[in-house]
Amino acid sequence: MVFKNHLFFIMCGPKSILFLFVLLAFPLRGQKFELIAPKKSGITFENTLRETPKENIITYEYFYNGGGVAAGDLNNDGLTDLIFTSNQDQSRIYLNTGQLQFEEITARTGINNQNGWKTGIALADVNNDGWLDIYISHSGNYSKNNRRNKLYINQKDLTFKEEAKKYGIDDFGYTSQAAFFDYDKDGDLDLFVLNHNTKLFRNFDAAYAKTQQDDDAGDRLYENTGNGFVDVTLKAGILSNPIGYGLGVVVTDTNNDGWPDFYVSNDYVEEDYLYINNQDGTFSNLLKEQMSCISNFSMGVDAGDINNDGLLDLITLDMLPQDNKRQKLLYAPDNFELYNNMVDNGFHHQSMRNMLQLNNGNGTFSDIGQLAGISSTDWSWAPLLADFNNDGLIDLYITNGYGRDMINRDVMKFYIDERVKFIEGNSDKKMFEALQGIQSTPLQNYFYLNKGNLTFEDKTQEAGFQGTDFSHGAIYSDLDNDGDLEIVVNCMNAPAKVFKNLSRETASASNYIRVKLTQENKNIFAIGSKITVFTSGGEKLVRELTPTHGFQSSVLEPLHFGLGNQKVDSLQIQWNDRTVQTLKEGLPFNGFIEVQKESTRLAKRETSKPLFSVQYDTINQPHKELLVNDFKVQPLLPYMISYHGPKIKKVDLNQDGLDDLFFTSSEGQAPALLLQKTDGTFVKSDQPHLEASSYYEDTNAAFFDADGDGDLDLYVVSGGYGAPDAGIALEDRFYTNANGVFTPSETLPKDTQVGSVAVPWDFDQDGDLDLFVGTRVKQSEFPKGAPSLILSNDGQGNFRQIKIPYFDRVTDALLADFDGDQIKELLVLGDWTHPKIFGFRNRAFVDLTETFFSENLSGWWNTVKSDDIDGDGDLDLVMGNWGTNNQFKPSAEQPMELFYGDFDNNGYIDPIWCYYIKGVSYPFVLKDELTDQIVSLRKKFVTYESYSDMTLEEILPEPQVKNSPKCSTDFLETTWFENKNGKFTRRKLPIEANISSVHAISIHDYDQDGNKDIFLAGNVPYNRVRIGRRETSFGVYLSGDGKGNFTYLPNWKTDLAVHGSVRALEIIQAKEQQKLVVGINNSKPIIITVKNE
Amino acid sequence: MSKVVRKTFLLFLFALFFQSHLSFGQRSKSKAYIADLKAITDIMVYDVTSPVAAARYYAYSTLASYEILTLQENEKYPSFFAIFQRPLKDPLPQRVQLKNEAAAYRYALLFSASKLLPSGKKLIPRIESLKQELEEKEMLFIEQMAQTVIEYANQDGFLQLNNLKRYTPKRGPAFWQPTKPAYMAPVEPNWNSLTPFFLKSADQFLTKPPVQYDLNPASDFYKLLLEVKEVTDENDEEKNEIAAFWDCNPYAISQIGHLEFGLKKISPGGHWMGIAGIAALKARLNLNKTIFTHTLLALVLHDAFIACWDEKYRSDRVRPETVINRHLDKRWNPLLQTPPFPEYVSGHSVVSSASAEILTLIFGPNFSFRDTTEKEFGLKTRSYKSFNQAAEEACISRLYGGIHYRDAIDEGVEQGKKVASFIIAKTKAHFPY
Repeated sequence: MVFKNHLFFIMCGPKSILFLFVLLAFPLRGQKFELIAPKKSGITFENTLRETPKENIITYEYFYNGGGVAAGDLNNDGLTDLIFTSNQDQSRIYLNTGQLQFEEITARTGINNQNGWKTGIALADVNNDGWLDIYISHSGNYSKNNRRNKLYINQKDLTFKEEAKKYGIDDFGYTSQAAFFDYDKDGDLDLFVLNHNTKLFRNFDAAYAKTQQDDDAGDRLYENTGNGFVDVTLKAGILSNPIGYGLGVVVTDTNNDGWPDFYVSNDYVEEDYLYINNQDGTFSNLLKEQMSCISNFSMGVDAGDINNDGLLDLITLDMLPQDNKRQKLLYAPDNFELYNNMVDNGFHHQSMRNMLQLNNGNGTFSDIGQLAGISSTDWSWAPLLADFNNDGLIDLYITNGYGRDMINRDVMKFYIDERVKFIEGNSDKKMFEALQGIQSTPLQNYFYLNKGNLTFEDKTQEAGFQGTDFSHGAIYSDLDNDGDLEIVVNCMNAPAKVFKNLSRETASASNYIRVKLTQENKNIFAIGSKITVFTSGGEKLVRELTPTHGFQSSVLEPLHFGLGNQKVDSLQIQWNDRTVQTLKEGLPFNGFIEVQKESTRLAKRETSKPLFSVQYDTINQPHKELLVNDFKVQPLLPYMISYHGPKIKKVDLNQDGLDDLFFTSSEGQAPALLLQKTDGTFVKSDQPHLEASSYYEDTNAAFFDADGDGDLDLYVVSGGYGAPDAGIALEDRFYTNANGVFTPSETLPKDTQVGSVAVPWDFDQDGDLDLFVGTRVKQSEFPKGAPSLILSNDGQGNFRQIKIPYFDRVTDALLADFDGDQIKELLVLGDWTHPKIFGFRNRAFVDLTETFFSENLSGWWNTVKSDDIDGDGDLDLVMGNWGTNNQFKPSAEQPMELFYGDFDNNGYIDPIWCYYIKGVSYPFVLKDELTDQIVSLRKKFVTYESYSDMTLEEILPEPQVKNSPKCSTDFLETTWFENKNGKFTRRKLPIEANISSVHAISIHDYDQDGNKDIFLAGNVPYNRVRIGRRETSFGVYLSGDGKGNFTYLPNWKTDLAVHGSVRALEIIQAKEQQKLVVGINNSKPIIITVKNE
Repeated sequence: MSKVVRKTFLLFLFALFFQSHLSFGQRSKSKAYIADLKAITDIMVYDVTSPVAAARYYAYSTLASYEILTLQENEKYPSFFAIFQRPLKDPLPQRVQLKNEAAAYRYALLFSASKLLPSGKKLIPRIESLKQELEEKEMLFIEQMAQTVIEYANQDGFLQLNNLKRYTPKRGPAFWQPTKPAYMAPVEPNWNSLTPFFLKSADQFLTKPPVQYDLNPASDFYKLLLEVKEVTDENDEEKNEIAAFWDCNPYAISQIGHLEFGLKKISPGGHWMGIAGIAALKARLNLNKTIFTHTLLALVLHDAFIACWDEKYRSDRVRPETVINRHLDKRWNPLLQTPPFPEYVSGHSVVSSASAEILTLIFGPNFSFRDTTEKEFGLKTRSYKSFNQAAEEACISRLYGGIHYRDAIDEGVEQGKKVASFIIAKTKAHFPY
């Protein structure tokens, strides 16, 4: 039942402010949308697509991209009207007559938009008369003159006159969409036209094409001179090359400087563009500097502040399906050569999935799409970020679907070849006929509610979006003026859909305010303004007035703010000329307010002082990675074992009170010992024996007095995985300290494992220091466990090797007295295993894990630090894990499993990694990857279809799976453990701790408030292509209150940020202060001086 | 007419009829065997079998049929196992007297291929129809033989290939780089770890090293490079036709927007097996000799590919298109799609010259034939005066196609001839050439 439950009052305030008041809000349960039947709404529009030999996906690249929608009040009656583009037929205009009923008025508007191929619609009052004009983009397999964009100027009587040429914006490019915005702040609206090519360039050609300029395919920027538009593309620094396959554009102020920036999403190999406004009529594309990885086949884009921190975040859509079957059918196998070719040719790191780029406020973004849970929505077009349930948080709606499953692997490998050989005729005809046989898969749209805390929940079913279709352009709009946002979707070969939002009718705490801005003379609707609502609960809600959103669509109507159960305290408008106007009184609750521009006060630049004054220096001891590819050694590895350095050991060797530093190194580079001078700089110690050890790959090191002569000796752990035939290079080294020169010992027992860590430990309490050496794995045998070592010291630095089989895949270890009995215990971490604690009692190793841990959390643990975090006198733990910003989401009920038998009996371990997708555990590996490794399966799985829904039990004979050794993982969170009387209890860290994998931890009272804070860093530069680059963390600062509670402070607040893949964090003692040293893979270490401000 | 005379006359008539029938029967039997091989070729095309793997499949499936033949006609056709480098460990199955030898040989061929090929089960209808012509114990015997051969094949290192480190493109201008459009990983970088049939080792017939990479316009390499570019730019119709005819790319990738698909053709080995079939039918070889010819050719193809692949990953030379795109013309494309593996030596040259040696030995030096193998791929039939003429054309086609430098062709021809001559010398005492 739908209630008509609002009464409108119009009040004229002293400031000529219009109030629309809603007196009654009927709180009911749930959040629902209702699909309004075309008969009822009057919207019978359908984007009918006819494939012909002349017009099809072969003759026009973007044949299946669909049409757009625009929502705006064309007759200024307070009701938002709708426009739909049809690719091949007449675009249609619908007049809103109230009550969600529409009248089709195309014929009488005088808009003749029948000819050509129509794509996006942009709205703006181009001629500054207070009436909305319409700009329709054209593309398609047409001649230049037949794809000129159209500008329909509003004649104020629901008729329009086409005047694109007159205004100078009858652009003939292959246009997807356009955006009007005032980039030069001269008061009138300029225009960005987003174009694409219809020819395809692949990587190699693309590198060349990137340097070219192309009139048909290149993007264009037009400046409004007040007397028509002029092309300023090149002058303004806008790229206009032939490989920009532009599919989305959104204008947003990403750096909060009051000047509009904009983001362009590009399909295929060309990366997206992030144009930062230089405030002088030019832009700088800072995408590579600000985002570590982006969507590969980027489609629609939108901007919105998803965490109410006042910073505008960005979402880009891609093609990754959510379910296993479609992933297996559509995904190309990992091709490292192709990927490297892309990067080598100057393109950015890109992965095929939706990305939610969280704005860190310091000129960086972190893709948290997987953590947020919105990364996989199949072949997707329009993302709409808006508050659909009026709770004050921005939600997400996504349209999707592609005309034919062109990238189905069976189509590629079998179907086309067979059809083309069979069909007679010329190649165009053959291809067209072959095309007719490719399957179409309609998809369900996605609707996500923002749960706060950076996560979204899929509410597609509950909200009423279960229907399937091919949907493209879409927009939100409060079509019935009831205070919640309807959704309108342009569908292919199906009627357009209007979903009525029932939030106001059914949801409790569904309050809102709508704000309309007007100003005089130019840009009457104040496009480019930003409104901030400060709520009674202290929330800060930011919305920008920018018409172009999502995909080929736009909306221009009063800005909508959901308020939850809060009220508006005040409302701040930053007008497009950067003046600021604040309203505190007369603000409606559940109503509409029109604000006329009054202010002439220029916005004061918010210069919030960062917490610290941070000084960055580098240490001239760059880490040089060999750039190996472990997947060439063991193709089914889930991730690489290499890229583990540099580790940094601090040690005051010359006992001058200043910490010196030891850096481990990769193969091809010698480890280095750097001595600190009193001025805080470092000088390399002359160590000929270390210098001669560059053919080892160091994974870790330990300094300890092994021979009891009072100075520190050195043990270096060797490892490495991707380099061939490691053999001797895997042997660890022990160096005795001879008057400051580290001299290799001949007596060290040999080992050939890939080691990971060395911990000096007088395990037998005989007074000398023995050594625990952790083993990660044996080369080529991941994940099979291999024994770690105890090197028992005779007191003279001669070691006896004892193999201890208690730990698998050791990544880190730590020795401490956790229970206060004055005897130290050894904590050992690994991946695909839970942390273990061992002691040595009565001449035997004792497993104390259960004494200390009440739950066995099997993770991909990387690193651990111990300290008294909550100030209760005992040692707590912080453990770095892989994080939750990924596809895998394991739990105790649905763990990831790694089966590692020799399934084809060729004497070689094949690790098969399985994880749950929608309740069923499937192998990660694709058909070709698996059958390339287990040759016998080539016969079983010839087609991709035959493999696409197989579980491991169906792939391999049952006994093989049953008897296969396996390990599992149920927990990927980085977390801390509180020591409560010798028992470790898991405590959650803020969710930001999980945006990437953590490989280095620093526990330190950074802000000098007497409480320990935590700084986490990590990232993984190289992964399986499907997983992609994981460099989303710029260092996570967690401020501690001394009681075990931590607050995340973003990078811009602390001014603390580190780029790259961090492998070591050490606080060191310099002359008068402490500094943070950061070891970064394949980069120079940095040394950070943190001062309190 | 006396009884005796009448009887003799009838006998004569009968003998006449029987003789012609026999020769008709022999031809149809050979034809059926060749048709089975074509069915196997079709499956390899369907499965997108790499050229090297295709040669191996041909070798072991024809070997299975030959080894049945050997047990029937040991005098004339002795077992190959006696002269292979690698001895057969398992005993051969106990010989069973065959009633329908032709059906038995075909059964062995198809049965072993069905076990070896990924989509081998597509051969089942053919196998089923043969079953009506064979007795239970005959089939059992043939299947045991096929199994013995497959077991022997399984010991050649093929199953261990995936234990070996995969190839990573080396850094440096002279080394092979993945090529457009798909930038595929190179095919079978460890193929030289397989045991050859006859060769003592993969590197027994080392080629000369390739002409050294040098971009100095006066250098030999630069001249070779320019030659490739000029031939393609010349766009001569005859040369283009030759290049296309001998393309033999099992999987040329086509990309139209998001639509990417492979267009499939027979491999170089498949092409030469096809020529052997054409020649066998033209020369009216009896079934035994037909089987022998195809088996020997397949074995030689496999060894030739091992030798060639050994050199490919030793010299690891860059393809012409990579160098031309880098230094001469960013937009240049070869006429043919560059196959995904290093350039030196030309595989087609090695196997074509080796094949021509073998076929010349069997059919003679002036054996003319019409090559119809590429007809199904929309290419015109070509006629040749001899196998050598066909091979020469096949070799030079790689230059016309823009995918090989001339020295890779010349040296490939040399290597192919050496491999074939060695095998001929080694087998001469055993076989009826």
